[in-house]
Amino acid sequence: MIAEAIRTGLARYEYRHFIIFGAASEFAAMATECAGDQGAWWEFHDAYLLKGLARTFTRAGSIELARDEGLDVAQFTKCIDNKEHADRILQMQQQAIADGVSGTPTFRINGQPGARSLNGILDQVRDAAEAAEASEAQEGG
Amino acid sequence: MMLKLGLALVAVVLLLAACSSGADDPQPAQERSAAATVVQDQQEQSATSYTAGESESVQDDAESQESAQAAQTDQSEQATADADDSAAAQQSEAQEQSTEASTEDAPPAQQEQPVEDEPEQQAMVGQIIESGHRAGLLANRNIVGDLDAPIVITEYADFL
Repeated sequence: MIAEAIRTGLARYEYRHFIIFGAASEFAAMATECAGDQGAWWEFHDAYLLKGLARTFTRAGSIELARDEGLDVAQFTKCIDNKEHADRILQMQQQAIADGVSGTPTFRINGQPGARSLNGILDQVRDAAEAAEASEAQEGG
Repeated sequence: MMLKLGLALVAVVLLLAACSSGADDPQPAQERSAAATVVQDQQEQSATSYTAGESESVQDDAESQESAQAAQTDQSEQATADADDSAAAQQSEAQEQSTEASTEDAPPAQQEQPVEDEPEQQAMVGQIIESGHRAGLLANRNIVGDLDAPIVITEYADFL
C-alpha cells in the first residue's frame, strides 16, 4: 500500500539517521552516505539491516561490501576516511532531536507521531492518503 | 561609677572575644547572620542590665557576665541549629520543587514508543526489503518517491 502511494506520487519515504549507539553506528551511517554518492545508498542500508554487518562493523567490512556492490572502492574509502558526510549526519541528528525523537525506529507521518505498529502506521498513511485525495478532488472540482 | 563603666567595658570586650572566636568557622552566611543578631541582642541586654543596677557588687557583675555569656552561647547554638534546620528545610523544599518542575517539564515516558522490540515487525521489514519493494520506485539517497508528494513518511533509525 505504501509502495503504491509512493509509486503514484502520493507519498514519499525518507530515512534519517538517528545515531544512538555511538561511533560504530555513526561510521555505518557515514559509509551508507558514501555509498549513496555512487548510487548505492539503499544497497548498503539493506545489507546492514539484513546481513547484520553493522553489528560487527569494521572499516574493512564496509570496504568489502563496497567491492561486492561494484562501487569505486578508492572513492568510497576516501569518503569514509575523510568523513565527508559527517555534517549531513550531524544535521539529521540535530533535526531529529528538535523533532522530539528519542529512540529508534521512530516514524512520523507528515510530521505527526507514527503509530506503534506497522498496521497502525499503514492506517495513518491510508487516512492521510484519503485526506490528500479529498483535498485534491475539492481543488479540482 | 567608674567601676561600673570598667566592668561594662570588660563585658563588651569579653563578648567581642567570644564573638570573634567563631569567626574561623566556615558557617554559611545565613548562620553567621543569625548568630550575629543573637550576639547583638545579648550585648544590648547586657548593657541594659549594667546600667540599670547601681547597687550590684563586682562579684554580682562577674556572675552576671558569666551567665550572660553562657546564655549567649546557648542562644547562638540554638540559633545555629535553627538556621541549620531552616536551611535544610529550604533545601528540601527546593529539591521538591525542582523535582516537581522536572516532572512537569519531562515528556511522558510512553509519549513516543519505539517499535523495535517487536520481532514480528522486524520480520516484516526483512520480508519487505527482500521482496524488492523499492523496485521501480524513484530513489535518491535516503528518499524514495516524489519530493513533492503530499504525504511524507519519515523513519528515524540506527543501523546497529
